[in-house]
Amino acid sequence: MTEPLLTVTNLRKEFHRTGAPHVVAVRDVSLTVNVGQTVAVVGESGSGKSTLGRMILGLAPPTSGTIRFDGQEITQLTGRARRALSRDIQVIFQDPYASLNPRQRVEDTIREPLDIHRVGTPDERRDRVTELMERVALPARYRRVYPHELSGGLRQRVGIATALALRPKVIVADEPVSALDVSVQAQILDLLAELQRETSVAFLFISHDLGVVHQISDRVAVLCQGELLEEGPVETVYSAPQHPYTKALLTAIPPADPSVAFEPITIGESRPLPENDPGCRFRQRCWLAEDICFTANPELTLRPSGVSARCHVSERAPEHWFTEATPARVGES
Amino acid sequence: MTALLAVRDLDVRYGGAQRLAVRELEFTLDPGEVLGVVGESGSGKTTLGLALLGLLPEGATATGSVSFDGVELLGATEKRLRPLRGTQLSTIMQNAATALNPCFTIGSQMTALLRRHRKMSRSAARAETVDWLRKVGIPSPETRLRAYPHQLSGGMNQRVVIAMALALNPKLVVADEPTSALDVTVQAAVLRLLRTLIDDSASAMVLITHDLGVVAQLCSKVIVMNGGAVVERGPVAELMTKPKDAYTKRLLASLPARRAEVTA
Repeated sequence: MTEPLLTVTNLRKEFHRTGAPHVVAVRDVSLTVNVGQTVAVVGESGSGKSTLGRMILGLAPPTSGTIRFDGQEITQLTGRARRALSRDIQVIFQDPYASLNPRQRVEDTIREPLDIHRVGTPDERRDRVTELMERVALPARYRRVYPHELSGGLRQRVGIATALALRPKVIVADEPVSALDVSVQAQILDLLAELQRETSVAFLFISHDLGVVHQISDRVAVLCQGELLEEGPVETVYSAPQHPYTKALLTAIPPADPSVAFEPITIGESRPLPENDPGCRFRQRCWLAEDICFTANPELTLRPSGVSARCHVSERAPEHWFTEATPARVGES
Repeated sequence: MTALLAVRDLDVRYGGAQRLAVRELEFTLDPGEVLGVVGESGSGKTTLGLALLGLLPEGATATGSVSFDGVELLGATEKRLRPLRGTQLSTIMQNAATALNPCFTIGSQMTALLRRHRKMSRSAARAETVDWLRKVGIPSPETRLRAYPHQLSGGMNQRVVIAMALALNPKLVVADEPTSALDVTVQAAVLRLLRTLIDDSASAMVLITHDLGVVAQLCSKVIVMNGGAVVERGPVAELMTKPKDAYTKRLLASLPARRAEVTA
């Protein structure tokens, strides 16, 4: 099999603070993204999902581990070599109000990457801007307009057009729709899916919203306290999660139908464990925790369904761990 | 029986704006009822909440009538409103970090509230505060009394805000996006808490949100707002399963295929 487009191996990020224990934001995470694929990274605030994206973008140097892109190791690239990579690796940010230059007109924003990378002649760049605006359904009348004159949805279209300008192979999208209204969100998700079908661009889609992730992703990776707890094809993970944390996340979405019972598994809030703790990172919030969960952190193992998970309990009975276990609700203590 | 809250022909306009932020709004709310107000940004739902609370900014003009327990709230003076606030009419804001005062411990903020309105002794107020913190699921409340908001997580702060909103047993609570700033697991816990507290009290609630899942779980009836006006209203089950208005249909159709009801 050919090498994946993007391979992250044992990637780790530590933040060191004076007078306080250091924080491990991303804990030896490995994952791959293939051409034309959407891989979602989900987790709560503080799970390390944005830090992971920032390392792939070259915005935060990893503490250890490697990032390979298109057959080349890019972990240590800096300066000119790293900048050249931005042709292939692009980003869409969460907040279209903060990520656009307020003093730049729409056409200049979209054109900027073409100027920086000296793509084509000025005329060709202008045509490319027209083409990109059409592609993301931004009417031509917005060409000379400033961001403050646009709605959130239109701004995010500007962000997407800018990310697409250099025909990247992968786009890291960090919560690209969470600042948008639900009807606009649906339009932008449709646009991203359509662009992917046409250009085979891959997405690393960072999100806290499991509904959105289900709609757009091929695979999903679940992070908690910087650790990859579960990874696999999105349908399999959603229908038969192999990690209690994933299960709890899925039950936490209030169904938009009053006749469907809402019975979330309450798992309390995320509290970091001391760094030298030998056990499972999730065990304090886990209603199934056993003695072994306190003394040994489980390995990430591949289950028969094709999902990988890091859990002693489900590893023992991957087919029916959840139905056999009796979930006693754990309180907020 | 007269309604607890009756809104009639309410128009709100900001400054010299052409468009009305809220237009010809009408609804009534009985004790114990939970009304969901759904809409996207710019629909006027937050403006409606502010109008109910008498918190519209200067420069906004409201006409019509907001009658709360026989008292007309529109145009009421601060002096008239103050005795109602907290005891009769209270609010849960979206962002707990800004709703709480960062300079005081949560214990002192909550005991101040109780002492001001109930003329309780310091020790009685403290005991009641501890009871409430326990009720909203804050672990070891005796020690958390001395915590400042920045020492607690967003979910814990929101629980404190909820406790403060309900502590004086108000007749009406206006909650504007009470769980939107929270992580999904924390939101689930706070929703369950809100549901229990509402069931246990006789308070009515106006719940403003963009999240149809939250509405489905907490509300008995719902109004859908678009461009300042109500486009559809009805009992929650009916509206969400058989929407009539085109905008409501579009809103429901925009929801990501939610698979919360997975069977593992």
